[in-house]
Amino acid sequence: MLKYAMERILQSSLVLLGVTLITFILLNVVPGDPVLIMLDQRADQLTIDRVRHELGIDRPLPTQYFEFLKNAVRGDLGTSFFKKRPVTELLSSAFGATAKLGLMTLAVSLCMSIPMGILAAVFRGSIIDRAIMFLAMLFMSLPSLWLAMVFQLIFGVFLAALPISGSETMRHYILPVAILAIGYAGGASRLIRNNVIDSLGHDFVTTARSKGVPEFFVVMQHVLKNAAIPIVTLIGIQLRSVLGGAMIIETIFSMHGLGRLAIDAINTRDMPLIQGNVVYTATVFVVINLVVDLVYGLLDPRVRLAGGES
Amino acid sequence: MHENTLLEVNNLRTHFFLEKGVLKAIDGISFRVAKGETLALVGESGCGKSLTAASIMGLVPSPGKVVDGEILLNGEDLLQKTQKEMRQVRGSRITMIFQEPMTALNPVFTIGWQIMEPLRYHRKDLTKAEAKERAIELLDLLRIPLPRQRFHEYPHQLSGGMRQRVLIAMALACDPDLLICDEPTTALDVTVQAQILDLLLEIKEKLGTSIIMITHDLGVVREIADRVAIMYAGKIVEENSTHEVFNQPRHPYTEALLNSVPRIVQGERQEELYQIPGMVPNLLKTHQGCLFAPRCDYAKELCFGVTPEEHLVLGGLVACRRYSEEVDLRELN
Repeated sequence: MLKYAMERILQSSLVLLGVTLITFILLNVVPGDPVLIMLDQRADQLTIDRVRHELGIDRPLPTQYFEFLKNAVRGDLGTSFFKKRPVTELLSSAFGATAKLGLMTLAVSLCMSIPMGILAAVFRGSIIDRAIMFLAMLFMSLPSLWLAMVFQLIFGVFLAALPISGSETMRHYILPVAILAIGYAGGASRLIRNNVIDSLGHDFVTTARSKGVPEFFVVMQHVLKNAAIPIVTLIGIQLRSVLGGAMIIETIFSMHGLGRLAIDAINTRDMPLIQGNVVYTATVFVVINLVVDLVYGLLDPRVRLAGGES
Repeated sequence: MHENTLLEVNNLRTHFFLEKGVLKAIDGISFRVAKGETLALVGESGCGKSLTAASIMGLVPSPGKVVDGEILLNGEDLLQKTQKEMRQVRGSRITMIFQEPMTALNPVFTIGWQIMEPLRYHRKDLTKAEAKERAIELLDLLRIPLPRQRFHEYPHQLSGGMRQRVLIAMALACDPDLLICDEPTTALDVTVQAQILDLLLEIKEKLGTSIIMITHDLGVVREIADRVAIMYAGKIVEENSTHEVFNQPRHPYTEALLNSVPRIVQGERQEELYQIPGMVPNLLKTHQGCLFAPRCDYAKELCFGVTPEEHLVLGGLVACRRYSEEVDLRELN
């Protein structure tokens, strides 16, 4: 197990290294000069050169990259060109809003999709199944952009019940969480339904029934634990994407999360901030992948023991 | 009802209601199993033997339904019981083991947990520790080495034969009156098959459990069964003691089945293996006369028109026109 963990950590470092390198190259290839964006069109060449020097982007590219790496391993991701604050500080302040939004979204979407998926599978082919699957299809097809505007109109303007902008209180999160959760729940409930149907077809389900196990426990214990692995994979994917920040929703609801921070950084070609954002996102991916793999082991003895033997 | 009878099935009909029509998968079968007796249900695939087991268990898959008949366990009609009452019968009074030991166990629970499961639902008087002891005792009874250690293992860590033993242990957990074995040895190696059959014989002897053995393997039947019921296309065509069936098969189908088994005699070259001509009838269609008639070497014109009745013969029953008295007299003289 220790060997496995070490291997994974080494792998992860390589992934992070690759990600930073690619981002760095891309940032220097794409058109758009941060200095020109920062300064006015009328700025003279002397000023431009001075700012370039101040930001350190007049140095050769390899030097810049290695400098970045050297600082990054010490936990310093540089200073934002525009906000003039350390990137790590900006990221961690935005992380709060994104984490809250993301975790609540995930929780709400699972609370919707797990019962939906199980019910649809157990009553497969019935009117219940069809109604749930129609709902799921609807959830998947509604663009969050459109849903956001409709919800803002209904709950924010007509009913004046909920705030439509900002991220100060928990009430500010209700609409964005609802909109994001609806999107996630649609796909998730379909996937859960398919996995539960698949598991219901296994011989061990008949065995369990022949032992006199009540149907509720047949589904909730025997079937669900077998169907859990793809569901955990899905939760992992969703968690990664919610923690990456919801760019559109954060922008529409003016929430100060990572998604919006990333958009701002990209618009202004704020290289350290973009780079920092990418490093953060990649780290989230790597960590969650690791956690998901470990959870597989907890759920499925075949994975656990195979890992233990290697 | 005979006092020694454990299970009596009368005129059971289980039909599937499909879009294309009604499939009469089981069409009026009757048989009885005495206490401590082993009955083999024999027939080719699709003849309704597994469905008979499912009907007894109350686990007929949709769109199938038991439409008629009685299933009396110690005189109580199981078909009159509610779902909840049937759940109390399943796994405690009637239990079942299946063909595929590789997939019949749940891969994500330990075998100990799975053996204890029926005890959890049917023997609420047992504490967890007592249930565990009982599970280990069962593993030991089924000659699983190191039962205490095995208790914590998962199905994938065991071989096919060991898994089948675990399934049998599970089925015996609550001391059932009737154990239904649905092709328990089909998926196993020949040597393991023999071990499992020996175990079943031993259980029968030690615990006095009645067994319904569903199989198409006549070797297994000869080894373990006291009585045999031969099924063909949803009906029982012959029922008798194992000895009678093997020594004097009366129904042409039984005879054909026995002829289809290769005999290995040293120094003798086997002539070409007998094959029953034709195909199993499509049960979605309505048939007239004897269902086996199109494949029967003895079929007469009458066989295609009149459904054969059951006739009492020495020790059992046979459903073939050849045994109706008048025909007997005419043909035998």
